[in-house]
Amino acid sequence: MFKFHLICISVAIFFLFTTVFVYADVKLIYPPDRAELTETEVLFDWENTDTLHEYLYQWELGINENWSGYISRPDLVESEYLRGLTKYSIYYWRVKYCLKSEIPCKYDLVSPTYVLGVNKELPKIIVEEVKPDPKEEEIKKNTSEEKVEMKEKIVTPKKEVIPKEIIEEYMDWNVNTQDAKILGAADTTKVCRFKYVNGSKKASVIHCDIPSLNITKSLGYSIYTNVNTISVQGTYFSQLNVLADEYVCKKDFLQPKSWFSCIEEFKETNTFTIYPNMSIRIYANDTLVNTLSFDSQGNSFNMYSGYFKDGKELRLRYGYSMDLGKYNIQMNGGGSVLLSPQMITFDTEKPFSFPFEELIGVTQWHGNTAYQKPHTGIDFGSTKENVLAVSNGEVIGKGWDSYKGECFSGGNYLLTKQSNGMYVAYFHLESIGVNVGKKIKTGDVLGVSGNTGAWNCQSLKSHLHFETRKGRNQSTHVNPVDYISVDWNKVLTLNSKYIPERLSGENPHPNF
Amino acid sequence: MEYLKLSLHLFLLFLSGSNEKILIPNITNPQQIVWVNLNEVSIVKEENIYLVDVWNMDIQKKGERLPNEFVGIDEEGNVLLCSFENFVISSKDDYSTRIVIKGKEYKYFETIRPIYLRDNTLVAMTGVDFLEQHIYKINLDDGSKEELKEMPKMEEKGNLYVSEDIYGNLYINYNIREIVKIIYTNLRQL
Repeated sequence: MFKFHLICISVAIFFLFTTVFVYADVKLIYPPDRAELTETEVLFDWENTDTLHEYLYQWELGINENWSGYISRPDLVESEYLRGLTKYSIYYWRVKYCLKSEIPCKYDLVSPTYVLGVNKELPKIIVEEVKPDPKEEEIKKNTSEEKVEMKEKIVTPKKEVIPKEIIEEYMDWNVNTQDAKILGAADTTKVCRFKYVNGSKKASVIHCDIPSLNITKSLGYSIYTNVNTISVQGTYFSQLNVLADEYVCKKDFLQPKSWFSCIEEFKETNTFTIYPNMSIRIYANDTLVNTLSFDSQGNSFNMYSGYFKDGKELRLRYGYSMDLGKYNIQMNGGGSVLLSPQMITFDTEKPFSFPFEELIGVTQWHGNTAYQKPHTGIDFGSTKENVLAVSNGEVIGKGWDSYKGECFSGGNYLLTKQSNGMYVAYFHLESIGVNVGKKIKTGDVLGVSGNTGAWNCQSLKSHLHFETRKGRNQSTHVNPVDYISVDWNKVLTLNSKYIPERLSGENPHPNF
Repeated sequence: MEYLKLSLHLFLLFLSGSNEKILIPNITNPQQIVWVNLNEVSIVKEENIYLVDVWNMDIQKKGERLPNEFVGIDEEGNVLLCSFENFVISSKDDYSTRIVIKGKEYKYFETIRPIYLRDNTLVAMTGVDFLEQHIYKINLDDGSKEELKEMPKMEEKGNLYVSEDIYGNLYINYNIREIVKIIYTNLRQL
């Protein structure tokens, strides 16, 4: 009975320790209270004073003061959240939180509530007049200057980030790495070679040359003042060839030494391939930046980060692990790369704008693709979207395109001649809202994308086949990427992880 | 000793009712994940077919496949290979897909590719992603094809599943209580 009471008290103290002595206080950082913003995409940012424990956060946005109507986003691990807001409104925002160990989370701890206006002035608060302090005047002056800055249109210069150097790299083994005797096959061209003594469970690394991670390209973007994002492309080893020299402990009655110690005898060399587990993360000032997307094809990878504030140090850290349980060998390794940003100019010289109101991803690029050789335009994965004029010009062709009978057809098409002498064609349209002879301006709605037409005698999925041509004839097609003024890093290849064939063609970013 | 540790671990998990997540080492970014039974899952990585024992993480290479071969499981729990080819056609009377399983050939007008193969059932969907998407269930006994309105729930294993993180690392996720429920239900049906 006494033992039972002791156990209960111990458990109680354990829970008390983990719940009582947690002084968490969440402070809202951005947008500040009573902020008046012009942006509709806002990076909500907050700070937790308790840095010892892990928390889950629920971001909430109230659309009225009494919170009777609100939207929320639970289960956030990072203390920030990017959200698009409607254009004109007053909002209230707060953050609820709980310890990550409390599953399911009740979110019973709450931050203060801040109010913000998006393209809307907040009602003035009537306060008693206070004699102005000279210091206060200066602070107010600086705040109002910042407000003007926020209301100005923000240009998004690109920053090219070039890797500076690999600062550190490590490889931790659980076995001896100094034993280099090879008694088995003499092939040393493989990447990793081990020696394993069966029965004694002793293993050692003979050699293991794992290539470092390399960064081939990275671009930084300034989204708002002091808020950035980064995309990084590179290569890493996704595959390791392994040789394991297996030995046995030879027991010989005529050799008394073998009765008490292991006399190693080579048995065989096993070869196999492993795909090491990998993680790659970006840190800004030693704070983890969440990863929005990570794609890999073979040894190449491309990752797109979340948002982070301007910091002095931007670093990419990677880790990998290998577990050869059969040979009792485990390895954890990794390294880090310091990234140094540089400014590059934004290219505004291309003649055409994007043919949709919002960015839409690509399902097939121009050029020789896995499906067509050549594919004469770009397929955008649109479903009944307004299709726009890409520059000033005139409609010169409209109708039903049937280039190879009923089995291969472009469906409803539109052909325009642009003011720079080039031609633009749209196919598979659901409907066309202009007639031949109509003068068009950049951004005019010409029709709606659809799935008219056929391929291989079968109905098409909804998409826009978009062509840019030097002349009227389709044979004069050119890559639209070279003529449309848009940040193509933001125009993704849709679903490329599951349909890698979509990455083929003249893809401006072949890995994603 | 290892079995004793494993048994104790599983028993404690059953008592707690919590979800467990374990990294599958040395395999990333698979092309296919095919459950053989509650103990084993087949993972297809490029040309290699691996069999993973989910309880002791024993990984063995079970075979190889060609790039146009899809991996399924037959009635005896063995690997079943399905080869498929698509063709460009100019008439609706022609076939644009040819599938071969255990030497038996199946031909269809629709341009489709397999997505699930188990025993005598093949589920296929439109193979070229810019075509209108359709899903079909094919009976391999007679080759008959039936269009499905939505993707079927092909296997129900409760809370036992393989998940993949953004880096392609694989994890076995399970809840012992859910698995015991499945086993109990199956035993009752017997």
